[in-house]
Amino acid sequence: MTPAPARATVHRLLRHGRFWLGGGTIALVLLLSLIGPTIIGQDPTQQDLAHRLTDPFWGAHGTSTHILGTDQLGRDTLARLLAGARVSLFIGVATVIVSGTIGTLLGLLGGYFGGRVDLAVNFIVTIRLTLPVVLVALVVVAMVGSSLTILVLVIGLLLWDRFAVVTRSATQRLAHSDFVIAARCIGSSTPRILLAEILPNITGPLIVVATIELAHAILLEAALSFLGLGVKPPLASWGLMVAEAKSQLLFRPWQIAIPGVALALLVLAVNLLGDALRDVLAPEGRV
Amino acid sequence: MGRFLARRLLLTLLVVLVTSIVAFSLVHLSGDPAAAMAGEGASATDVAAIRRLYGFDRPLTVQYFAWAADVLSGEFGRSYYLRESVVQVLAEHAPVTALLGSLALGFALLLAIPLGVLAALRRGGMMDRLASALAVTGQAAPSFLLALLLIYVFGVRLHWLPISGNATTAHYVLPAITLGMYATPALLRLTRSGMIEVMQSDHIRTARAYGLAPWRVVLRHALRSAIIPVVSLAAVQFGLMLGGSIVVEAVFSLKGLGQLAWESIQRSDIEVIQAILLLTSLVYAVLTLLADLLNALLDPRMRLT
Amino acid sequence: MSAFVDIAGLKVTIPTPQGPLTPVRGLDLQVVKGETLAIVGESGCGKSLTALALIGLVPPPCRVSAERLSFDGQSLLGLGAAAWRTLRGPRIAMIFQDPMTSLDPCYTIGSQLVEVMRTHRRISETAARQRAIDLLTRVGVPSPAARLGQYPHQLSGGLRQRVMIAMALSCEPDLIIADEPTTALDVTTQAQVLGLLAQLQDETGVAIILITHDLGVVASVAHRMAVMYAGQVVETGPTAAVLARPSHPYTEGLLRAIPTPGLTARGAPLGTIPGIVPPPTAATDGCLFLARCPYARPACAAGPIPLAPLAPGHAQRCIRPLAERAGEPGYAALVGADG
Repeated sequence: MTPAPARATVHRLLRHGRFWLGGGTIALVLLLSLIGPTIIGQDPTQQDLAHRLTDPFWGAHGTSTHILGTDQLGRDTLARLLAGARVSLFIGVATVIVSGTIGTLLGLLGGYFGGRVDLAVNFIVTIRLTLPVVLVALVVVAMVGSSLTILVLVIGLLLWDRFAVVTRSATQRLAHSDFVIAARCIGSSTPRILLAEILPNITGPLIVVATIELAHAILLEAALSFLGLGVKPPLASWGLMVAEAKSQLLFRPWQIAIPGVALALLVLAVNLLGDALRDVLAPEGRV
Repeated sequence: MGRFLARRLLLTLLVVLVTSIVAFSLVHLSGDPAAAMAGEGASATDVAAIRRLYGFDRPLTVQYFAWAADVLSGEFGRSYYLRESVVQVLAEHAPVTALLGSLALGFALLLAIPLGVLAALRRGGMMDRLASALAVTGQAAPSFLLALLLIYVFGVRLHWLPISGNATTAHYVLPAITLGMYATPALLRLTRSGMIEVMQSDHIRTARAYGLAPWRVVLRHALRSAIIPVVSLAAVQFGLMLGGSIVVEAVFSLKGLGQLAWESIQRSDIEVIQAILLLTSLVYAVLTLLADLLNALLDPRMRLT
Repeated sequence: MSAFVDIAGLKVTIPTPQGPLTPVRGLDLQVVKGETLAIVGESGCGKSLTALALIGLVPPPCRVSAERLSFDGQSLLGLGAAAWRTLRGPRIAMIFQDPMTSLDPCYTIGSQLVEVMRTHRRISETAARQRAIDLLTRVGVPSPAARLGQYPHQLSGGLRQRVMIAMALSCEPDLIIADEPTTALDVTTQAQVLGLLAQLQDETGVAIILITHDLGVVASVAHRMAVMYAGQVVETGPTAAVLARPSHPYTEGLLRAIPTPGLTARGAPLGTIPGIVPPPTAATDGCLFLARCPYARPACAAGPIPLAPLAPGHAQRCIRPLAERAGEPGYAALVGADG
């Protein structure tokens, strides 16, 4: 596997429409979530029961103080939306770091050493695949609690399988290549070979997997929060917002649609970015 | 074929064994299951009573083996909350999930396969773009959003379909569609790419070179070859859908295993949670085995290994 | 004698962002009823595309155009899909190079044979199966009844190719196009398959276009041969005549590369043709073989070289007649150069 010259790759990436669409949306969401609260000046946790369930600005009784209306506890929807964006992005990225580390490590070991180590890694991956993700996450959170740290750890420990599989096959292919043999000949230690020789050469597919798992993580956190066993109030999460608004389906569907569509758009953006990255970095995996 | 089957069976058994250990461990993560079960505000005596009743005071390994022995003899313990044997509770809820899963898979296949074939036949055409859009939205939209959207449109606005409970078959329509969309994008993509590849293969060229009618070439020859990996993916997706049924059953108030699992988690009904974890994993393991078998069955080239 | 298959000026073009490629550029060919014509050439000369053009299966985005492309008096240009389907099988049948991938691995060979037969005529399943057995017997497949229920991967390469020939015969075509039918087979099986084709031609009078890169195959079964180079026919004529006295320098070069009793001196290196085949993009004036030809003259570069008749049924694309070139050292002079 010859690594493409970095500059050429970056150029191809920059010309890819979906890269801009996907990456741009994510960047926009990130930006808004960070500076937005200062601009709109509303506190996402501030309850105002006198003004609960007001319409968004396009509704009959919309106001300009609460652009997207308020929820059932009088909290500003836009503020909560932006806060939820921060949570989604944070959990998503943190989880990918955790799952990426675990999966890549297992994949490197299995792919490089082969034999019984590989069998063991395969077995562990099979076990992980056999366990139902949502159910296990729910059980763990119910047993141990749902701080952000725990959420990140739990989701991270459940989404590493694709990293492991991709790393393993990529490492297998590289394990017998000349530069690895050369590194062994000059006495490089195994960790050095794995981290300094092999890993840099498989970053392409790994980045693609990272975007896939980022999307998964965001959706999983949303599902957990929707079921009440994810992010808990007063923190905001888009899944939680949908759950809280569920009872208002009949009269105020916007309360559900706003966070729900935001979720879908963010995940869509991540998928588009992933598509673009895959086209450029790992075209063999194209479907 | 026999040896292949035996090896896969052994592997499956091992996987189920280890999974059962994981399931057991997860449920005891909180350290004191008795306290969790008793709930908040329970007195120390109550908690101690529960502990003795369920044997939580024994060493963990002993507890595990006792449970394993029970499972093997068909006993899953007693639900603390429902005061019934777990087997009974599972038996009441399982048919709903089984029906939901089957309908969902059926819907997914009915949508994904024809659309995938049409998209492959006219690449870049309208069907292809529709298929692309469907796959992309299906993958991005969270299932609870889709569920609520369907409820709003078909239940609240149009009053076409019921939106809660599982009294009639009609009650299963919206949930099946929601759950089916879990699996549709992957199945759609695989069908499409498989068809594109197969249509360029030599034996399709032969079929056309001998003047076979287009529908025969596409359906009898191309799809027959392309469908093989799709079928085994479908088996695996079925297993994944069972896991994802928790959200769907919660939104549509279907009294299935997913709903049972969620409720049991909320009330710390340990025995039930453990049983469902094990059951789901078992079903998934069997389904992957089935997927491999289907692969071998459908492809004559693989039967002789 | 009107040609059964008449091709004039056949062009296959592939549009690309960098400009069109023409792997087949202006091909002329005739086949007479009941004879075997061999098309010879190296890989990439366009032989397979020519065959595919004759059966209307040139893959998109390639485009076919010609002054004349007719089969038994009927023009094949711009033919609709339905019309092609009535031709393929009952009138023109094609045998492909790799029998392993050319048969559907998911169906038994019996069902595939029956399917082809029942597509083109109204016979019952039983009658079709019986006919399949007869065909398999005819092409020399042992235990034909048992074979009907077998899958392609259960047969050897030679048997699979016989099954393909049986399929080709099943609708009693007037023309069989065989694209390198023996390349994937071992030498013994090769001889058997070729002998089978010749025998079938004697029995049924079917015309055969045999595409190959193997001059030995040509010599043993072809009545007439056409040598292709860079998308054009450079020499065509009765096999014996062409092989005995090649008129075109390319043909001569090919023959020099094979050890031939009488021609090749003992211990002498086999000839090679220096240089490489021009890519399908090169739009040139003049002879396409110019860069590699030991007999080249400035006149060869001016204007397109037509396929000129030498004798009845014998034509070649060199503007310098054989007699004129006879005294020159030609390829012999090159032997020292890369010896």
